[in-house]
Amino acid sequence: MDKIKSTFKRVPIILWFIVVLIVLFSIRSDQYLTMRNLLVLLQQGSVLLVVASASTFVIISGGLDLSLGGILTLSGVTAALAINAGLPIPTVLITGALTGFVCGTLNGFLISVCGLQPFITTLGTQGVFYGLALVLTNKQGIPVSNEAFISLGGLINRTIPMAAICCAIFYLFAIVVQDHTRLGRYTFAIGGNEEGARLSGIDTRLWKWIVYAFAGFLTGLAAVILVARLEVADPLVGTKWEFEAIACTILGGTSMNIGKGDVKGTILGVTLLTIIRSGLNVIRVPSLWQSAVIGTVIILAIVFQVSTTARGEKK
Amino acid sequence: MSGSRLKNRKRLSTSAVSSVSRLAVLLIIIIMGCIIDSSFLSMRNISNNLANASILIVLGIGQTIAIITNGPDLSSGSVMTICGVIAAILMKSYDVNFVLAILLAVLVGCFLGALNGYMIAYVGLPSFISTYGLQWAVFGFAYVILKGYVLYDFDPTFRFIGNGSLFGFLQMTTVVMVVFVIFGTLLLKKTNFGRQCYAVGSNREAANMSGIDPQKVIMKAFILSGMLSGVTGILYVARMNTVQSDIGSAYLLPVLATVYMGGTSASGGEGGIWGTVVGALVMTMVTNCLNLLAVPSEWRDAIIGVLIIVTVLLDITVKKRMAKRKRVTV
Repeated sequence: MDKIKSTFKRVPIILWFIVVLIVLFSIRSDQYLTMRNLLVLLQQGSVLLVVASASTFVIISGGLDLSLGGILTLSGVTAALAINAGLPIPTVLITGALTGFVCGTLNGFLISVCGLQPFITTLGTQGVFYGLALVLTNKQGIPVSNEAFISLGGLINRTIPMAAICCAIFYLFAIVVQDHTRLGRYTFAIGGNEEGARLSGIDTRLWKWIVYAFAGFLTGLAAVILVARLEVADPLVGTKWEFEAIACTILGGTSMNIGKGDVKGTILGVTLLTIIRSGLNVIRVPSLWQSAVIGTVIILAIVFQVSTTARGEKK
Repeated sequence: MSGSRLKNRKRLSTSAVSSVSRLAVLLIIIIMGCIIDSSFLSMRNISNNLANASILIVLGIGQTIAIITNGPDLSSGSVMTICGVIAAILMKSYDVNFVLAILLAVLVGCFLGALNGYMIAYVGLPSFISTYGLQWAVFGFAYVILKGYVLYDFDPTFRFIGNGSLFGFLQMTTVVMVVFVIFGTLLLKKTNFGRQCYAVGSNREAANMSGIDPQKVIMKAFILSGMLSGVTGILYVARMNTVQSDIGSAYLLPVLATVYMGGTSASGGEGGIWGTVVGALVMTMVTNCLNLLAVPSEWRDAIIGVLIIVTVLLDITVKKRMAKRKRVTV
């Protein structure tokens, strides 16, 4: 009996939220637990998953990146320009990723070398990235029509969710980086105790820089898939993504100030957000109410999540 | 004894130098404005700039108090919106007297601030997360209350708060702003509560040890921030004579930028209202200059972004220089 109790206790609270919501939605509508809806969910959530993973890296290192939405937008725009210029698809992927990498490098430079606070820096660079995206697109979305490119983000034969597959690859890549490379280990070390990490011989300045660059790189990759899925590079597409990414990170159990967390947990946060959003449509909650309901559920989930983690730490 | 006084004077001089550097930025922008258009320093333009900066400043005062004590209050834009919406609906649909409507709306602001304070101080959420989550919900509720409509055309006595002017050039918003700036400065510099804010912000543990109840102080700081956001919402409605369910969303980033450009440290315990005032003036005047130059709107975000980074970078460089010199003299 005790054993069952302890296993139940080990299940993250957020998983209960997810289960309850799925049950609730499937009772209210028989459309919810269908293969078709599941595929749509996968397609919608997958890009956010990659951006949230990028955010998770930065938050574990004790920082914050508010410019991820801006990076997502700008990388999407450069990728769209590249594909419309007739470049092959691998080059387009590299263009997107490289744009993200350069943006992240700029953030990292300002934060780790110049010593600015992450919050302010990325608030400023966010404006810069959005501004560049607006200038490059002339304030209008760039439509993308290359068939092969669009198939990267579409449902092939209505059954194979390509966007989800691509993003799953990027996500696995992020997990491997976190678990098996120096970058992953040093991220935790810097977040846990930066001074201690420096004294034990880690070049914290360099590695902090790399963390931001890597987050930019991941976001750039995600941006290419997003453009392929939406078939347009919109200069305002990234609005609010950075906040959603941070909310998902926190919901996934990553702590904002002690270098603790996990890219693997982030998927739970993304799942919750995606499920609520699609579920409200399926059970026909009027759009007037949706944002209030989503906000309330998210904040409740975060309160539960953080208070249970805090209790666990005290023990 | 004399040693500690000496240290005090030195710290003061560091903050004095960095406030001089901020004033220099303001001066450069004013000079640039004069070069762009000779009427930049006309009475009319100045009074307009001041009035436009007022909304940013009143919102910024609450934000400054929150940041000094604990961290940014990202819900301020949404609280501003919902308070404006509530005041407007009470006046329009229920014919409530405007004084009562304002009081009720500000009360709602206090309540939302208290909710933030509770989540941060007692539940232990990072301020960034709890206030952002609340913002999400509050914007949603503002939309629900207003059902997506736009309300306009309010009672002229009410509109006087935002639209009227004294002696022909001094706009009422500016007067309200000055009152709140004085209130905020006195609160932070002259009262016990103000000193406790700085103490909790710079080192919560130490503040706790010296007999301050940090949870209570954080709670109060966020209630204040909520209240001032509410006041801003009412000022906005009175000035613009219209209200929608998203008026505050355009203010969130500028107000954060304003406070940080004003030298309030993101890690807490440092900063003040005057910096925020200068920051808001810089922000407003840059927008004014961009308008005069007819800079296309797509460049604005980028320019303001660069401005934020440059001002903060300048501030940090000055502080580092000062710290180095101090070390040499000691």
